[in-house]
Amino acid sequence: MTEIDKNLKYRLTENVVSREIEGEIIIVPLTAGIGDAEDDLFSLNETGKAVWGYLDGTNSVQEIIDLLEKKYESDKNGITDDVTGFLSELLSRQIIEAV
Amino acid sequence: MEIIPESAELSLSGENLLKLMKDVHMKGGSLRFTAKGYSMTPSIRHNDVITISPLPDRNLRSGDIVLFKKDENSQIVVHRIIKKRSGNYLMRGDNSDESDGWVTGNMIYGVVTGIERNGRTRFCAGSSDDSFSRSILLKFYYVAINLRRKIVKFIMLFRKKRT
Repeated sequence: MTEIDKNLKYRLTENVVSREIEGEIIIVPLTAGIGDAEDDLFSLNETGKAVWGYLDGTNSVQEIIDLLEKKYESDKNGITDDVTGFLSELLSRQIIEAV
Repeated sequence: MEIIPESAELSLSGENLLKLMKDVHMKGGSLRFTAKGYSMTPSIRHNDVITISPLPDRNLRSGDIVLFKKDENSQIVVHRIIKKRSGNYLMRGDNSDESDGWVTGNMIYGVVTGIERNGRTRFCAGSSDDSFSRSILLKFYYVAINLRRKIVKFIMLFRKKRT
């Protein structure tokens, strides 16, 4: 699992296309210039959708966690684990990069 | 929190597929997806995986297989250009007797550059390769599939008369 530094800011890489379709955020990574709607198409669950909007390189991971805590009034540790786990997965798939 | 692979479950409607494809093309990429239907048999068969690339720098020409809409409200279709006249294109499925009619250039969104069947890459007549030998091969291929369609039609008619 890729370690996430909570002080860093992340943004989408150039090699990904995302679009909201019928309430779902669909992510298409471009591998060798080809977006594969056969094998490599992803959608996000509800919490993933909440984080996705912040991945524009303006907020650090800690700031995203703080924003989500205020928004959802949820358990702090739970949100931290969810966000870092999610970002770690996106990072390992080269969907996001540190700014 | 997780991201969910959608390979088996997700079935995009034509309009959504078109939106996604435009986004991919804007980034200079191509989009692979499964073709449904029989109108392009034998070039593209039901469940073949096709790659749609952005429109090439060269002009589109007869023989190219393209993704288009007949008009704003119609479905997206992947068929072949069979004639070209002052910026308009006459389309037809390889397995269709009748053409789709003339389509304006701005209703064509991409060109087929790859066809895969059972995991193997197939010959794709009308890909971005612009070589002379390819254009000869394309002419031959196009004549051959038309001939095949006529032979199949004749055989079917012959069988029908015998029964």
